[in-house]
Amino acid sequence: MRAVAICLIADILLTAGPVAAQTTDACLSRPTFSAWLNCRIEAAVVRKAGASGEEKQAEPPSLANNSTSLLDLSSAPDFIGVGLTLLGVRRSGGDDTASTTSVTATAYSLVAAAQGADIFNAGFYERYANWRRVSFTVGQQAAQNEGKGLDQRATIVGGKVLLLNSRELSRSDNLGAVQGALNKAAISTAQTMFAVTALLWSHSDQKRTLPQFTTEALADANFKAALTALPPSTWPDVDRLIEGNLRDQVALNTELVGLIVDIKRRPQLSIASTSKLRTGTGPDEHRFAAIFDYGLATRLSTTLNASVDFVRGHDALIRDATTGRAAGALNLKVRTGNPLQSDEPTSLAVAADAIRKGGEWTYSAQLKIDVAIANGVRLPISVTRASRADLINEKDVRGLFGFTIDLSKVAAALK
Amino acid sequence: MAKKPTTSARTPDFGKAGRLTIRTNATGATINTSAGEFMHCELRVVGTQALFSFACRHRHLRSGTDFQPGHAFVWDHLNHAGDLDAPSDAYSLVLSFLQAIKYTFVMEHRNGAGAVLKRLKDIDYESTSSEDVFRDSLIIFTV
Repeated sequence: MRAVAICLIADILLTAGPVAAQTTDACLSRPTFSAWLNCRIEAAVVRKAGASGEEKQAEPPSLANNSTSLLDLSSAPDFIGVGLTLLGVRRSGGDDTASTTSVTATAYSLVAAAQGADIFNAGFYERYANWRRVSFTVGQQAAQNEGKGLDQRATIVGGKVLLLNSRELSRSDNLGAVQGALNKAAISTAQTMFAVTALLWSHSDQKRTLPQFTTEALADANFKAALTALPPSTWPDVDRLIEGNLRDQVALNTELVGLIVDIKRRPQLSIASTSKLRTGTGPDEHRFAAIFDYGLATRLSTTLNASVDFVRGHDALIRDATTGRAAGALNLKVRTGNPLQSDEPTSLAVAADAIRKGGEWTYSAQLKIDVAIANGVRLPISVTRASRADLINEKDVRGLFGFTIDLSKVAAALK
Repeated sequence: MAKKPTTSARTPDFGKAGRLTIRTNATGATINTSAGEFMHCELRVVGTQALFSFACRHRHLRSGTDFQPGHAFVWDHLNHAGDLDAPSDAYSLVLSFLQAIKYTFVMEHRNGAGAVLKRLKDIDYESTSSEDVFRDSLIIFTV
């Protein structure tokens, strides 16, 4: 009796594995046999290689008083970006709700518009790659407080040139290795598909010939029933077959993930000029900056800005002034599990800047969270603490809430 | 009456964000190569660059680098000397979404005069995740 019970338990344990594996096969929800096989290969690649895991500025430039960004980034959105600062909160009181709006467009988007070209056209995108290195920004900073001096309404104009751009994916050296891996993976896929089909047929009742089994039993409408009807002993054999032919699939995955991670970490250097221009006798402000971005790790990057700022007064109230400024930021991308239906991660940034003016230093520190709402649409929220001794003779804490749209990503998502 | 295309539900059909829209999909076909029949393929891409490979079990056959940069790629197979490697062979199309957001692939079984005998594949493959790859395949039996 005891021996029978042991045999029964052993039998259940031996058969439970494959049956459970078959009935919980998530890949069976795929719409075609090829998609089912693709899913099985993906799962095997993840088991073998491990699961894998936006650095373009659509915000108003840092020169704008109410920009949610203490620093500028080296590159602009591929086509057009819109940045708004919607709301400001200042601990020391005062009106800080004046909005800042800016639109940034690359020369590429202007050329595409002038020629009536599709911005996603592969040949056009590749041919005019260098035109994406140049971008222009126009915007407006609303009047603040009493609207006098530097608080007057200002028009923002700027330009940026990306001098060092090693993150351009379309560069042939970036894609050659991926194409090579893709070619090998395609041969491997054909081999796996043929072998798995033959194996499934061999485990079937073989009332059909192999061509009939392939074209009829594995057709979209029938393949789920056909696979479910196969004996449990089929699945370990299928897994062994897929895993035995996995080398080139893993290599493709490694190449793709490696390239994406590597490209995001490569350095970028740009120079930028931004001006805030005021009408009448209002003072103008100009910033000339060098901007450097570099990836320290997969999700951690740093941005450095060095700039010279000029104020040119047109009346006796504002004196001409020249200041030097250095700023740095650490940006951490946080995987959020896409709670807001975005493929992009939310990011956290810690930034600081130091300004040398008239022999005196002033400092600012900023904590920023940049929430991805949807592809290309982000909500930057920042809190800045500044030692503004030169201006208001007290420490100042300011919170800002903005909104940015990268139209290239929005268009891609809607295409 | 035209068959209603099959579109995906919320769960990706492949990868992290892959979607398939299937108008026609054959898992296999029999082609009479001795009568001059062949397969005709057209791949269209939406995106900045097509990264794909078309292969059989024995060798790589076509990729984006075999064509001028563009977003439409057309080729025939089994109508040239040396095209046939085995009487029954699997063919795969592997698509990378590193620089593309959508591919449309049409494969037709044609007679020696070029007339369409049967459409074997007519599928849209879409993904917004640059890491995504899709592997489509079918088996061709030749007589």
